[in-house]
Amino acid sequence: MATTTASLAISSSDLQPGNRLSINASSLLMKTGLTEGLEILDAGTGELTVAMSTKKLNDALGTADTSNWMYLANHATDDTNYIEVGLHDTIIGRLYAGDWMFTPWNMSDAAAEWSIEAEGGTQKYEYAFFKSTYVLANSAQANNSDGTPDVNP
Amino acid sequence: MASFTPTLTLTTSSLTSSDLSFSVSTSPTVTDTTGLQRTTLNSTSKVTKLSVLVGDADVADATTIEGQYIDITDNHGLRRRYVFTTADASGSASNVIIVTGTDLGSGTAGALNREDLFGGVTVQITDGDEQRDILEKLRVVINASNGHAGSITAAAVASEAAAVQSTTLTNPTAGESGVFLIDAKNSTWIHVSNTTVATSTNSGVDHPTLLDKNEFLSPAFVYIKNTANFSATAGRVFCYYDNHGAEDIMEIRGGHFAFVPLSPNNNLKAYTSTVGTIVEYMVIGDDA
Repeated sequence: MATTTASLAISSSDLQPGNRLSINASSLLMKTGLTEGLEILDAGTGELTVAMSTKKLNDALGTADTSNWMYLANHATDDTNYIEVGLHDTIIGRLYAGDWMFTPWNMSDAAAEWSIEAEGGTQKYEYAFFKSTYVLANSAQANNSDGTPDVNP
Repeated sequence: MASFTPTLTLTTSSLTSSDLSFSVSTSPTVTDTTGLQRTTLNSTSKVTKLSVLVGDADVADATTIEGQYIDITDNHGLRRRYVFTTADASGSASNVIIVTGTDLGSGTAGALNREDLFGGVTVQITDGDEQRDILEKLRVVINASNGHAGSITAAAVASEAAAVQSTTLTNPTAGESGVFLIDAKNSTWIHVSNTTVATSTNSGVDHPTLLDKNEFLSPAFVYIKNTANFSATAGRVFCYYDNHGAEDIMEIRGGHFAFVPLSPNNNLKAYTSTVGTIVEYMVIGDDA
């Protein structure tokens, strides 16, 4: 499957006077074991309104305690607005206009879902989830006795 | 004011169709940073337990322990100072809140100028008690009305053994954290086992604070990297807010990193799966 690399660079010329800041980190996103190649990329964009209240961004439906990753960006332009990001019962933090986050997500159990909520105004967001494994849900379609799909259930 | 630019680049190869190549950056204006820091994680668990060094070691003269104490704080911030008194020298019975006239054994707290014990809760011990017995008497008082009185449940200590022995502290309230604070470092009780071995005392005190809620406003940008080599199981770093639930919010495996704007309403703490794992981190934000 796909070999995925995440790199982070943090730079600043004036945050630490006399000491130019330059941090670089790069990691190959491994599966839960020692194998490369995350299997699922779930990405998209959306728009949150304040009236929507809390929206579920992604359920922890994969295998628990696996290696997964979450990227989220707030594409709002009003810097007073923010998206509140939650992981199950915990408020992780605020993602203000233009900000982004990238974090591992181990889906420790089913109660490890991501949620987002717009504060201050309507905001566009962008997200991507990289997952180790994923088991497709059973189809609701009925089968015939020989196991073939029943096209006229 | 200062600014910094974090840039994330994500690339893939070996996709069957088009590969991913993606980059995003932002340039927040901030005032403060912790600077890039490293700390060694030695606690491997969020299970809180209080241990004594040698369970079956006799304490022939209980007055040697008289007035010694240990502080325990539950997940709502309720701190209790548990103070030992000696039965053989007419020290106060257990589960009594210490005031000026409370007899510790060799005298009252006031007469002995032990103002540091006022408000503490007595744990009465006696000559010949083993370290295990003293721990058991302490855990009974933790559960008692003037102890933590239900916010912490301290489990019974096993029968005496020539080894480290402990009581495990849990939270009886469903959904709440069992990560309490045991101030073993500043305890005057000499029997406390406070090393990095797995059987030793362990609590939230042993989890370093990566983000101090009193230092930064929201959002505080946090860069965290696990400096260990990648492994499926060893050397993992776990992070959590020390709020009532204390759910883990990150598991960072060796060589991996996270960059997250956090809300410092609580402290961000860390522990590991392997003693000695080093975490690298930097907080960037505005002064609180």
